[in-house]
Amino acid sequence: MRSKMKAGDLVIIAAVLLLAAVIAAVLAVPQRGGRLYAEVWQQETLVERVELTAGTDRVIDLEGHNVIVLEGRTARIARADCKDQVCVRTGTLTRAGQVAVCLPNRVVLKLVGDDSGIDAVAV
Amino acid sequence: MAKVKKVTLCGLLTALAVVLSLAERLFPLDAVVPVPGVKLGLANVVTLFALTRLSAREAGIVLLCRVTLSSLLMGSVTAFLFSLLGGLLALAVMWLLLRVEGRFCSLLGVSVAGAAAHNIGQVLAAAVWMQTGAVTAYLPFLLVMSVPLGLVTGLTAAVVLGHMKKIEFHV
Amino acid sequence: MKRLIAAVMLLLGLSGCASQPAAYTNDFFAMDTFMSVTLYGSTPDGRPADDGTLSDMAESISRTVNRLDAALSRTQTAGDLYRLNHADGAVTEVSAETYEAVRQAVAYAEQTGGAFDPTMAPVTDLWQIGTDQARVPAQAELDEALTHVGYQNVKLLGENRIQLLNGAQIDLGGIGKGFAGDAVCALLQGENGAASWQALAALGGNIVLYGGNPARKDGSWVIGVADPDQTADSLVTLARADGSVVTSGDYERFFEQDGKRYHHIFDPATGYPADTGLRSVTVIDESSTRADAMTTALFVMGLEKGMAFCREQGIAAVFITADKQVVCSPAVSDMAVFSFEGEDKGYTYAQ
Repeated sequence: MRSKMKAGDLVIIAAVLLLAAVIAAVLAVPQRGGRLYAEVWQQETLVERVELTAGTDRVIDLEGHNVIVLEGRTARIARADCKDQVCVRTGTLTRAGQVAVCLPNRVVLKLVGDDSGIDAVAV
Repeated sequence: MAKVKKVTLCGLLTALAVVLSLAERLFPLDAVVPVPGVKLGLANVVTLFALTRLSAREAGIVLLCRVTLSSLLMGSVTAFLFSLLGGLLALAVMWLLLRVEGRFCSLLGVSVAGAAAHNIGQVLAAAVWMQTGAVTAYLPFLLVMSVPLGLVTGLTAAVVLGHMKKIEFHV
Repeated sequence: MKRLIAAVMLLLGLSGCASQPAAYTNDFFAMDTFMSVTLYGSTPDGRPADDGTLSDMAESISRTVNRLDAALSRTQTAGDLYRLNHADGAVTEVSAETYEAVRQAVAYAEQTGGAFDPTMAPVTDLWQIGTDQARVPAQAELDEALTHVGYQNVKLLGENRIQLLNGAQIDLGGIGKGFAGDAVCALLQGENGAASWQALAALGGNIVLYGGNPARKDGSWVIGVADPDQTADSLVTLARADGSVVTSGDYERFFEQDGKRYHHIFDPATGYPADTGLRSVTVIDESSTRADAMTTALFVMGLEKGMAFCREQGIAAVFITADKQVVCSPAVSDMAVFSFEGEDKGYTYAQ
């Protein structure tokens, strides 16, 4: 039988379990600044939820109405086809609790995640 | 080695693998790992068998056919990608370990390593596809699962290979 | 196998578990703006309220805001205010709620000597700021419109009856969100679904705080005051357990013509956007309606007059000027823990 256990089998099993433990431990330790997610809402429905990490690099084009750029741990509405451009001038969102809103298109970009020190901004 | 016999065996193995892929849907993995397309990897037993009785090339062909067919049957692009990357990684790891099988470890170890590699591969594929590292959170669970699963599939492969020796089946 | 799965799930669950109570967030659009309500609740025996209780409360909040939106809007034809504005000067009976909103608006107009005025509708109609037809009106048009402006034209006759004289039209845009904020507070105080509620309601940038923040040890909510050029960033933070923080700025609604910026905060004396060298005014107050009215009034008054008014009335206000100064009235230190964060952006702090 080729199923007779050998020492190497135990080494392999131990290695797999160790890898599982290491990954679990790494994930349990919060990242610098905590976890951060960008949520894109259109007409009150969630269309995208993306975790922002140092390596994030993504452009979300909402059929040309709004262009949202996710870069590292930041997010911004880079372009809007509306007249007031309030969402663009909101600038770059960098911490949980910040929101950029395009009222004419009912598009909301918000950052959610661990406590960022500020709960809301009065504008 | 007769070519016809080889092709037939490959076909049989593909069919078996597809059945196993379908069968593992009975296991409610979705409840624990809510990433559509992530699978336990029962079909790895076929890859392991193909690697021992045929060659890496044939095992790869069977894998590709299995992944394509089962994805067509279940109709999901994500499942295709996850299974393909998982399957290929499992194949590579098992192919490497089979070279030291018998001296360093048994088929059980090879199978466990293959199952672990399968899970790493499909989670990597999911991370790339869904553009988020968050899916790696499920990897510890899947890796722990790959130990009992790998042992079962390894044992199955060993038993089947033992029987084939008895009936003097040669390709 | 099942046991193993259960054990592993438990481990994963534990590692992902936070010690803080879970917040329920409800976002919606009302009053021509975006609103976001963060809600915590606990049951009479001190356990966190379940999701159903929280979502019911969040639902009540958005219903209340939408009800007020309909009643106090100038454009929703089924509402009280629309009826009042289109009664051609006849005595009109409105709901108790609408009457109270108009009463408060008139009271704050009196208190601020007309710097805040709820009868600016004929003027704002000429400018149409916030629409594609925004334009600078001719002086003759403005002069004519201004003859109808004046809070003295609003007659509060008691028993929920109001009469508008001299062709006056009411626009509650200056206090609507504040009034909705106070209504949300009243709802949180009265609703018995849970023993106690804690909430942060951001009603289009008007912030209402209630019951303390369970996520912070000292129970405070931390509110940023927006940088006028990059409204996601803040120049100042204010920490408070309850009450309201309201900002009015020239960056919210405006248009540009011939290189000049025309914003939506009008001076009732001239009919033009208030040009007082201010970018924004923030008021901290127990009443969100008063805070809302005061931000507009102080913006119109300008820094010097506004600061004198704050001293006299004990109003907590933060002024942000066009020449990059952040100036606080003395009452701010009584109302909130203040922290200046604008150095990096070239702002200086003065008291």
